[in-house]
Amino acid sequence: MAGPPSSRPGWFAVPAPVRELFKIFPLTTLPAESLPERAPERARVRPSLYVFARTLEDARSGRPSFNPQCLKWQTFLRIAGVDVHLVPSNNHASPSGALPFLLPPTTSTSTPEKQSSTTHPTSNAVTKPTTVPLTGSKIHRYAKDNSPRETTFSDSPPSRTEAYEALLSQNLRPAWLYALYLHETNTPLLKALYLPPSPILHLPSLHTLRNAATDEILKTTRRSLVDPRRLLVDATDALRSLSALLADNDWFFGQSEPGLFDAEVFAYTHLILDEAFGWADDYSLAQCLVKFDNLVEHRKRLYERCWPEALGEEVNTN
Amino acid sequence: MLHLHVWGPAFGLPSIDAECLAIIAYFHNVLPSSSWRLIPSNDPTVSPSNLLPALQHEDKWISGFQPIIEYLTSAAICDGLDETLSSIQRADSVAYSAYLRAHAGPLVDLSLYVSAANWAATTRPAYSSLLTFPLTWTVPTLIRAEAIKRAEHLGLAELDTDFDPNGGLHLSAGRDALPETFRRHIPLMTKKTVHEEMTPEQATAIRLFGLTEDCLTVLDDLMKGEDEEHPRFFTDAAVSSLDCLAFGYLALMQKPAVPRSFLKDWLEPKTPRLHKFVDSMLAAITTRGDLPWVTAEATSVARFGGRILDSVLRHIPNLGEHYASEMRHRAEHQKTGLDQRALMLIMGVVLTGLATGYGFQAYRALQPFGASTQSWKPRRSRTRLSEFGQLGSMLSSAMGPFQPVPSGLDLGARDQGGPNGMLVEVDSEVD
Repeated sequence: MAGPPSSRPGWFAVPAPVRELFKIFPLTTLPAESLPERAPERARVRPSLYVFARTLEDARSGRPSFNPQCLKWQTFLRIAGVDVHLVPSNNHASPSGALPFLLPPTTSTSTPEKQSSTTHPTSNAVTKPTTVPLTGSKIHRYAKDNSPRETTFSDSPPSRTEAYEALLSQNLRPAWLYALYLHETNTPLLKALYLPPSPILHLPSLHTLRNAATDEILKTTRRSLVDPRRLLVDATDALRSLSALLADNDWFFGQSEPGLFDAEVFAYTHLILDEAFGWADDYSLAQCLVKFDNLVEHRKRLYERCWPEALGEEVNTN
Repeated sequence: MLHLHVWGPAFGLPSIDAECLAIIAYFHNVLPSSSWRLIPSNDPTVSPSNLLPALQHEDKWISGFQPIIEYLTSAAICDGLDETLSSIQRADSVAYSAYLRAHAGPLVDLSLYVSAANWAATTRPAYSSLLTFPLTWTVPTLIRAEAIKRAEHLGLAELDTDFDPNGGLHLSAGRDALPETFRRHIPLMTKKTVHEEMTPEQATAIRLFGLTEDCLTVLDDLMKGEDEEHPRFFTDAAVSSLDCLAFGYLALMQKPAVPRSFLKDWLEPKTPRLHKFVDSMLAAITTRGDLPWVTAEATSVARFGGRILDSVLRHIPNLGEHYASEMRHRAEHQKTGLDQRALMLIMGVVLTGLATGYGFQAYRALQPFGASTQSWKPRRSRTRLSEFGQLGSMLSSAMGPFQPVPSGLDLGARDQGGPNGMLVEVDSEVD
């Protein structure tokens, strides 16, 4: 079809007038629109952690998220000293369907060359957009690899940790789910935290959330009914065991530094004891928790360590 | 007298359910067999909280392993098995009990309920021997559905070969869409790939063994007893409540003779201590004398009928789920009899039923596209022969006018226009 170039226009050449016409286009080229303010930055200097947050302001200032899962990883990243940018988000934004997830910075791949990448972000000439979101244990590894702290994370005994993690998910979480999602007097709180602002969407979303929470509780407890008093007893048992495990130590499993399990416990204890959270009084996990002084102390210790900037605020407000 | 209601014996174990097994072991260790009765009622609805094991003491009902133990100590019926444990050991006991429920429970569910081969060969027959006739058709499948839901998060649904991720049979799915048991009876058209040749358990073996390993090593790590013959979780206590609970779950991993025994295959060679533990616990139960079995009281016909109806209602697609959640709501709020909510629901169902019935009748009564007002033209009738081209036309004119058999459709129209047939005959020749 494409013959040798010759002076004579071939059969398939575009006629001159048409060519002229097409050359006029595009008539003008408009300047590129800037991205919306909340769009993810093209070049992330800091890793972004997508979490549930009450307001944009809360996320900007890095306050604790209201979701235990998010708070766990947020706390752990703070323990590791990894500076993250919090982005308020919801489950629909997540590739795995659940928050939180972490987007590593664009300049550094999560390979061990941490010193060079964190200190000179521009020295890495190849800006590979490493936008593979990290969840769960991958956040753990990322935090360990990128921690500026010299102290290596000493691992707690694995099998005992697993057993006590099961205690949190099996005994404490159902009570948390019940208190937040199913307990009638906490409905305003639930609306403020998870439900969309539109009143039309309220009722169906509330219904879906409650059904999901009920299913989850029944599945975990292996019972056929949701028994609020039983859940509270189980949660108290769990807290008593945690209290016995912590004993007089600063951190769980007698470690010198807090670890992932501390963050996990803190995620629940902090939110349960947080006075600004807005819990109703008649189904109170806090009442179960305040009986265990060392857990309350543990929460305070970790909060002061990870959120030193919040200390000043609290003193001022008090 | 304490009456303990449980699921009945199966697989050579005193009960088919893990928590029932655990509580039987617990009772057998704390109480003399003269002070309690073991009733294989096989019906969770005997207790108000709809769960077995259930303890009936005087007028009180307590359900579940942990609540029953707490009740026994709080009502000062007997000393708990955990009295001698230190506080950290108790904490461990609570934590590992939670671990058993969270990790060993789903594994047992996978092995006995989700895996289609094991379910058909072992678990379902076991339930059939426990239940009476019509219930054997309805109740086991409900129990299985619950177990499948509980093990869902492990992502091993392919063990259940009736599970179809794409929903519904599709032609392209071919043999894969058929349940495994049917597949064997269909003649082989194509050569099987290695993957097709494997049973679902073999195909997911790596993940299955990974899960089993994770779960059992954690338990094995805690069991650091010196006593080689009778390993227990806490050395200074004879038997603790954790031992009982672990026995419940581990025995169900080890004892049932399932055709796809991935749990037993791991348990025996890799964690011999756990294996020995189950055997010694079981031996301890049998050596301490017989269990105080009492046959369950005969249920009344009304109650039996009610249970059948209930289990059938739960099977209805869509409606069954609403029914189940409504029944759960009533049980949670301890409602009996009719109240406003139930009346409203019944009214709603009746009204919807009436409306649907009326709509259906009205639809049936509709004449097809208003036949009375519609008129047809008679179909151009032509002899069948003329459809065969020129030769056909010649033949048809040779055979003379031929009235084709009127078809059912234009029967009414033909009544009025009988002679039209002739007229069209001429037309066909013009063609």
